[in-house]
Amino acid sequence: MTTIEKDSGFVHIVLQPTSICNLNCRYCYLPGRREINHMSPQVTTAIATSLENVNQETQILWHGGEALASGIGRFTKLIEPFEHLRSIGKIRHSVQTNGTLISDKWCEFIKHYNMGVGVSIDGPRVSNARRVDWNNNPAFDRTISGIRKLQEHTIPFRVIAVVSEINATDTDAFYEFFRKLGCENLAINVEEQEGLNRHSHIMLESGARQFWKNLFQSWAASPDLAIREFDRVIAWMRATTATNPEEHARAMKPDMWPTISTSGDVVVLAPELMAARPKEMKRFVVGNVLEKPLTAIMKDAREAWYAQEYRIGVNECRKTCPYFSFCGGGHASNKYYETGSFAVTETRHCRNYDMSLVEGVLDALNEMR
Amino acid sequence: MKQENRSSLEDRVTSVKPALDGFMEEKRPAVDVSNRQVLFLRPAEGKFDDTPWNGEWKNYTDR
Repeated sequence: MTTIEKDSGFVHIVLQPTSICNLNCRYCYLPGRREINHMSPQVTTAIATSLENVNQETQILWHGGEALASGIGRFTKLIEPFEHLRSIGKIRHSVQTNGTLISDKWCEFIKHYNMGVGVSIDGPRVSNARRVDWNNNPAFDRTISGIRKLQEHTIPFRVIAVVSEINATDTDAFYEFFRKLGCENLAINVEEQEGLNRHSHIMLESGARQFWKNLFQSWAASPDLAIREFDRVIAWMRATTATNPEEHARAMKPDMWPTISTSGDVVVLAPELMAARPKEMKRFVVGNVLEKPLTAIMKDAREAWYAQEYRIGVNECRKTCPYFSFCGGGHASNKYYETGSFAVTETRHCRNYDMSLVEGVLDALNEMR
Repeated sequence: MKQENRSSLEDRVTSVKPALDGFMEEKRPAVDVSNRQVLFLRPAEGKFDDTPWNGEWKNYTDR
């Protein structure tokens, strides 16, 4: 008898269609970006079969390497097993790309499968100095060219920008660039210490707080571009100060975030754990979709050693951290890469991202009073 | 970062409420924060939705 999973424990799946990337961004945390490992259609067929038994919409995020480096023919074979699920509204596709390979044919592909698109670009040309190819040539013009191609095909796109001490200074220029770029949403990731990227241009805490304050001020003057971080902080502040909490109630529904490698190995809690050194990474694999249904793997994954450790850390965050109601317990990958354990509380990433974000916005609002 | 306690943080948020409300009233048409779909949320960030908040952190294992 088939069991329908009412709650699979995840609403997103990250799929790695290929390990290869045509860029060599200086801060990238992923190893093996020059190795050619492609996912096989057997892997996606196994995932699709398992998702038949999940009674909720699942978002499939294709994220490499560079996902489009798979090539259209190979990607078509990977995505086709999901078509039945897509036709009945059980899954939606998104792809995260560096934009450099986007062509008319890729645009047709994206439209055909109704994919959401996220492009990685860090701001104006000068801010993208570390986004380069393997010959050290800047990727900026090729990324912009890909974005223009999306626009020619009227494909909406979002942006993820990585911020470090290098591009955090001129927030007016940073924000204006994205306003003019035509993206529908901007998400900002603060550069992190993880995977291969263990020493880099990570902001100091004071710099991060100043960045968020300055960016909020730049944004507040003309807030016609949605910024993920400000959406979050405003929603949280309004919930925190609501006279009738029921009206402004929010629920945080954490996600186990299964990330599936080209070989079908499953890692949970954070895609960045795929970036660990091969031996280290094996410790995080909770199963392989070619050997066991994804839903069964995910049931067991809740008790995986590092899920248990992470739970200890989150519970401690709940008890000790005033920002807990905002962040919900910190990112698993940052805890691990910064300290070697998941059972910890505050990290540098907490300070530069969640805490500094809250404090920076508070600083800006204080000046608006 | 100085670790203010929880109520202190709530107090500080409450103190900027008028500025936030004023900003939202003036700019609200351009800042729709209702359940915006966000690409690539991190595991612990969760997702805002319309489900009533029951005052308890629901750990992923409780779901």
